[in-house]
Amino acid sequence: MQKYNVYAQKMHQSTWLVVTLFVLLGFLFSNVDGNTYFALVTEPRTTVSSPPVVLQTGTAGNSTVYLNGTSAKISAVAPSTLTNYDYVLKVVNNVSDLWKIRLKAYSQSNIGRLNNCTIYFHNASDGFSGQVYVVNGNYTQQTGSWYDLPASPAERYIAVTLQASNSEVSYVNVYLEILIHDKTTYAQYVLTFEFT
Amino acid sequence: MRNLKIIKNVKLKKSSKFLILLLTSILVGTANAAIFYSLTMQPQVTVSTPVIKFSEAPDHPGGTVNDAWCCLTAKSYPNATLTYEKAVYLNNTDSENSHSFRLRHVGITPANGYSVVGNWTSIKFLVYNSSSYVFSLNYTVSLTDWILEPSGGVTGYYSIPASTGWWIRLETLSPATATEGKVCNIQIAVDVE
Repeated sequence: MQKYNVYAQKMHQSTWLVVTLFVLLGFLFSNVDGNTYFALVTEPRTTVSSPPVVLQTGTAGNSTVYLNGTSAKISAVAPSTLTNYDYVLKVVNNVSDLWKIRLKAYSQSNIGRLNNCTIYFHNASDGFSGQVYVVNGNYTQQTGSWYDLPASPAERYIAVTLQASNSEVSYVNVYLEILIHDKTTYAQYVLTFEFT
Repeated sequence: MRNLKIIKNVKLKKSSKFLILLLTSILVGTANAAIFYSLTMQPQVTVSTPVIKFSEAPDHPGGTVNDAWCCLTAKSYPNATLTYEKAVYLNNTDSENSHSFRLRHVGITPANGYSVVGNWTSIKFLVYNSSSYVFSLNYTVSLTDWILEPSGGVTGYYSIPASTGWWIRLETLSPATATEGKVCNIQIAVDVE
């Protein structure tokens, strides 16, 4: 009986020895398996700047240009007969850089009553460029093609043609996108069109 | 037992005893000495370019770009979102292996708690591959504090395939009341595995 106990004790010790060896080997392998990594660093510096292109109020309808000239609300009556508002807003380039501009409708409410709504750019040299079209309550075009905005002094006009089936209120929310020439850097100004 | 008695009865001189003690100590010291050996490591440090590195992209807003460091001097306009579609490229120059990287916020000034933080609404860093958006690190402002997204300012790791270029799209937006000339400096680490 005593003999067996001695063997059990020896077994116990050898088991511990093996376990200890495994643990030590485990540490050894984990060190060998260490990761190699490195870090690059980017340091963006953002400065608040005055906008190079600004909005100015138009001569038709009622337009409100907000602080800094980077957003506006345009109100116009949509009668039952086709009516043109020329112009509701002016886009002015204050710097020597060249730009391209376009309109992109991104949300709306109650446009089902609009039989015809065309928001477009125009000026004396480049002519008409239809940007956003609503026909019989549905968009037929939400994003216009790029339109040149030359170096300062330069102005382009935003005009609207409207016809509605009733006297409710519709909203068309539009981005005026201003793209740096030959780049894909652009600014987005928020324009809210309210058609009563 | 008898042997022990014999040893005990042996009479030794003091000097002999000392000599035996000395020899025994040396023997014990030698036997107890740690067993060690040394490997030889000969590190060779070569100046080389990282496998993932920055390069100038078409919409780079200005500032220095080199392989492991880039500065982006961007603008933000009051009440208008300004987007630098391809602000800087991140290229995996390893032609055989993909590598994982993440964006990690390191620091920003002005720091939280200063009213000048209110001159920005958001500054976003969005990572794109050739076909779509992959992940982003965004800074948005709540009163006078920067809110980082993901929280903690560390994105997950994303694997960029071998010989592939991704880019960072930078979007800035300031509130209508922002003051011209205010500057925000951010430092972001791009950790590469």
